Amino acid sequence: MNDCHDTTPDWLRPARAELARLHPGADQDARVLARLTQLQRARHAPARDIHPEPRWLRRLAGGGGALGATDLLPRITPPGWRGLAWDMPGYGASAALDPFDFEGLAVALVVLLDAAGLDQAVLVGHSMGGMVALQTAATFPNRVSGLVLACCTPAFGARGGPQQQAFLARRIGPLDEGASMRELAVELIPSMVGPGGDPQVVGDAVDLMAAIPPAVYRAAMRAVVSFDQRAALGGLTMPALVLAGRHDAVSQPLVLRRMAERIPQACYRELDAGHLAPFEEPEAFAEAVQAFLAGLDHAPVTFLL
Amino acid sequence: MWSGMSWLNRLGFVAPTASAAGDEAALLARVAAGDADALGLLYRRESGSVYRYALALAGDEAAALDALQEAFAQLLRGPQAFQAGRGSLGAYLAGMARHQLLSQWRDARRHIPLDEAAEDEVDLVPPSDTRLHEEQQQGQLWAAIRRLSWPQREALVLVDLQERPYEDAAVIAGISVDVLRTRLHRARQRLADLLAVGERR
Repeated sequence: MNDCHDTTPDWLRPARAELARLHPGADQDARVLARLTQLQRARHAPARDIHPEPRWLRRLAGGGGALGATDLLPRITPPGWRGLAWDMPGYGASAALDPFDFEGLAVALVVLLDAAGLDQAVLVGHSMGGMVALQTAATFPNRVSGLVLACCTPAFGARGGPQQQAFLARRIGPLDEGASMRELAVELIPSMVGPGGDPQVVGDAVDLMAAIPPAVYRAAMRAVVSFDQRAALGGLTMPALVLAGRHDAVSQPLVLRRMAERIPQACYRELDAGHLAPFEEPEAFAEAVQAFLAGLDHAPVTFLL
Repeated sequence: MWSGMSWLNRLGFVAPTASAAGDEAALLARVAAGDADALGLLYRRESGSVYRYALALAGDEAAALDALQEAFAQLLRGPQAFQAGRGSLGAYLAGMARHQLLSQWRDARRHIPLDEAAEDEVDLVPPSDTRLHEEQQQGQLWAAIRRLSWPQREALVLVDLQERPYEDAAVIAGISVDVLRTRLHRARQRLADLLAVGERR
């Protein structure tokens, strides 16, 4: 004990005793330690168990899988900024996660940021990529300097509820009945674009979804229906742009508008498109993202999810 | 609890265990090598103290947990950055948590001066919630602590409330021991004024 302890005023001692009794709650402790353990494992796992190495990308990881848009990243990245993207674990050249969940995806993303030597980046996420962005911002807020959340929602209804069951039946049911990924894509993708959707956009999206390994796709869909970051929205401190497709039946504009209202520094915009808005209206999407990025004054890095 | 929970209901206290430097280095080496058990041990050993430091500074449980998590995450990212000769591992982690808190507050409130000259006027902590004032006597004391400037509060928390040696406290705050003593002296005086302690003594 040093001299300072002898001079601590008596009237401060109750506060000292009070503070000494405090500790994170058991649940909070377990959650923090689990994240740290994931982070540690991600840094030491064999390549087959985690994102093998940075694969700066040619593909987008949307809800249906790699929606791919080879020219989207340069379009949204302003001059002087660095643009990066990834093959989400399980997609493209990246190994899948086991278990495949959003916590693990956020950790994988942070490890990738570390590998790139980046303290922060603006995360630009579409559909499931938006959910990964939201999870990362909630879990590692200091690594995210801004958010663009396109065509994604902060939650997916009550666990095991009818909305989830119907979604899984539609997204996975055909596989259970023997359909191929291509057959499933042909059935699903056309309903994801707005009126007058470009057949080229639909065709490209079908090709990319058809290339997703079925096991990864199943795991991704199960992760999506359990996603819930509603409670985190009010605590997000970074600027955010919420972009909705006016004709999006998957992530409905009303839900996205409410999400924007709950994020303290968020603005909301709608594009005249469906769920594949970034690809249906790439120029309007890029203009909206660039206008948002122009208002940010640090961490000039975009990371496309 | 700052956020409204009763301080007295926050049980489940786990006393931090002192660790020898050699033991600490060996443990850190295991953590750096990917040993999850070692990480768990290190976390259980150090997290309570780091959390209490962050909580007492931030007055916000969520911010304290973020700072705690980030402190350990930084250690995982670059364990070589810890230099045993410059202080204990606990002090290093507290310093990382401090960095995280300051970063959060700077982002939230840009252009606020952090220099010593302005310390009496500056309070970087977000506005307190009114629930704190419902905490009767303890609440009054904590409310007064929250009214201290950031540098003064930090000195008080580190030395008077966490009973850290001056040298460790100075390392965490990134200042000399002399400056720490000055801040601590001012903090006690200011707190006594706020609580009208002189009239009670």
